[in-house]
Amino acid sequence: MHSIENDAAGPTDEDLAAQAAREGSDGAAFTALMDRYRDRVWRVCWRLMGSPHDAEDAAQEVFVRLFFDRGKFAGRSRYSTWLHAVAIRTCLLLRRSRTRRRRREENSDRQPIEEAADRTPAGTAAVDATHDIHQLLANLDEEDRALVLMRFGEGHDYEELAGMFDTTAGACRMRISRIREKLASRAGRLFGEPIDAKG
Amino acid sequence: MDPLETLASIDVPPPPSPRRFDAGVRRKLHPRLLLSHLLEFAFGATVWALFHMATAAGAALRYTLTGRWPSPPSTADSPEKQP
Repeated sequence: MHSIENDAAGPTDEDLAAQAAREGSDGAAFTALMDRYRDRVWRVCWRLMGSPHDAEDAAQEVFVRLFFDRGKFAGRSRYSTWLHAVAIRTCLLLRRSRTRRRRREENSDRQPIEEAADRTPAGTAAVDATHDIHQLLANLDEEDRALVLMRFGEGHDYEELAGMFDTTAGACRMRISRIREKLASRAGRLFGEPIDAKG
Repeated sequence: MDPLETLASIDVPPPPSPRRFDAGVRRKLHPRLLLSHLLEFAFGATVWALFHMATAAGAALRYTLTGRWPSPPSTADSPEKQP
């Protein structure tokens, strides 16, 4: 792949995106964007997919989609927000298709989290909190799970989340609050005491 | 402590090496790029060619059925317009 000549500050993401939209395959601008965002896309994919193998597959898929959609960036949001939205949508699609495939392939004997929680021994304090929170999140709707992971795992603010999930900051805040309540009702049984349900 | 806050403390493993990662992107991208070019050709060039050949093909069919070529389009110095 080619390299791109940068001035001292370097071209902005939006400049590179505009250049990438004009150039053909394997262009310098797209390669530069890949270099800038490889790690961040990896982080998002790892958070959402849950395993390094799936994350690598998903992150590569994200860049393939970005390549084909490189002319669709309209500049209404920051490029990084748009890219995160593409990454999240791609991961959600992959997770849904994998879940469907897995369900078809095997008659899953997974138990709902409520049953698992009921079987948890009395000493819940010993249970690994990280494992438990992932168990809790696995029971959420895929998009809610992604929202929580982007908010608390990656630390994006509500404005950024609004751009990524194509909604408003207020709606994101409300949704997070509802998710918290939902988790709090279940977490009581997993953690021994309810999650602090304040927004 | 809010259990959701623990999500931030989970370490993300390092990404694969750029060389390996980019090779994977190319492996996924190139077949799709080829397919998109083929589809573009199939639905672009082929349709364009068929559309432009349709007149000739229609005339050939008409000749086959009737034994007569369609009359050529009238021109300014056609015999009808001459006194």
